[in-house]
Amino acid sequence: MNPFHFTQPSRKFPLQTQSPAVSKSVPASSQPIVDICQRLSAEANVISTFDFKDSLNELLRHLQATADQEQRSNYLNQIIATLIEIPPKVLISILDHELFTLVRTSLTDVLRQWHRTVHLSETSLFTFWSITKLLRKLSSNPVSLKAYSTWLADARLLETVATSLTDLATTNQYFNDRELKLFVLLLSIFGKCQDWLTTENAADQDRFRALFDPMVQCVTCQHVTDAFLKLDKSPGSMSTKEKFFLLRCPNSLLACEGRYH
Amino acid sequence: MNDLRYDLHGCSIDPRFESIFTKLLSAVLPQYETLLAQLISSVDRWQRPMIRGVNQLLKLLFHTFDLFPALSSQMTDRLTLIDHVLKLLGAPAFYNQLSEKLSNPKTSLVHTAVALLILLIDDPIIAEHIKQKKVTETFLRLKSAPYPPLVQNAYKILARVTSEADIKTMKDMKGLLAQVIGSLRETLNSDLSTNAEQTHKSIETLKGN
Repeated sequence: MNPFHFTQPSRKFPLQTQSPAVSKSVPASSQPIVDICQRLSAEANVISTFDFKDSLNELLRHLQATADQEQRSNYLNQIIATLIEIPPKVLISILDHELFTLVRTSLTDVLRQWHRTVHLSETSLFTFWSITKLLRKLSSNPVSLKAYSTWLADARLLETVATSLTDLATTNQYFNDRELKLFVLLLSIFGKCQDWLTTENAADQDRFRALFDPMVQCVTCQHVTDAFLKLDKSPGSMSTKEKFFLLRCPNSLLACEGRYH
Repeated sequence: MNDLRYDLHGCSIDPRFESIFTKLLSAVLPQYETLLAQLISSVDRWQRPMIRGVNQLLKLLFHTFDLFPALSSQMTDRLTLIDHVLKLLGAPAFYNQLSEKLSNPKTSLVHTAVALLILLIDDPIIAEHIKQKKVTETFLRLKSAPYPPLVQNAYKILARVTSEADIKTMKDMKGLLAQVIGSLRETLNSDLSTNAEQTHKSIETLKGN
């Protein structure tokens, strides 16, 4: 059963009905993670930064104590689902916490996996979905956007995104809807962040420019022509692939153009 | 970073980007010219997805020329591309169905197309080409569009590309005159030393070339 029911990414966030982890039985050693997540969930709107940081420390400890890779991914997904419920201003205050670095690294890993295997596993896809949802929530708060943009401008993450862009421009393989929809959302979040960076963040702006050349590839490749010609023949609606090449990429290219304010 | 140039809005532009955008243009311009040649024949049947796609394509050109005005000279080799844009503006499917909201896809596309032309007509070759196409009718129709900035832009183009013969036969001179006088007033009120381009444009318009 496909737990993912994606709707129009530009309007609503893709819906998902069930986390793959929920159906698996949870071994005793992970109980603390589940407990902490439930507590955070319950206290989400009233939690102080101090308590939140404590919880993050604990979660990180238990996560690092988990040997099994697959189980670790499941726990991380659960943690991210909880983070999504925490008010953005609390999250932003603590972006330098190692757990957030882990979240960002996980996103990089998922994208690398996508590059290698073309189709992501259910768990990895859920990770991609959850992190993108978290990032989208963070990007909706204008106060947090600056701090958050700097956090997002990680060289390794951006290099991996650049690789995915080149994959899309130069091959025929990466157009699977589920992954591509999330990638389109991720790019729109980046675009928003790039708009917010100013001359004070020249180093961050430079890192985002890693996306520029591959973006140019995406805007000038044959897939663009193919997409338009396809629309000419079947004018009714745009597939994810067409949205990517005709709407998302030109937009993202303009975000990269290096205009400071 | 002392060698940063500043665009008209006072934003600094990384000079490395000019050469990158020059290369981008030389890749997309032929592609867009060929594409539009094929697509424009069905312009009356374009639906929302196509309209959005073409809008994005024109926006890319618009922003490029807005940031790097010198690059618009590349369009002098792409006059057929301009013809396609003019054809789009002359299609009833568009001028008959505009809304007062920019969120309406057709309005947005027409607005982008006209804004793009305004950037391009600074180039005398392009201005002359557009004059030769005798598209006064197209822009006259647009002056009754429900979206005000579009109306203003239509007048701007009319002021630049209308020949004397057209003016003599034009029914509604008031609007056109108001636009020209308004822009002259703006120029006189602003600081002439920093607004050389605007002054130059106003003078060109008054000369009525």
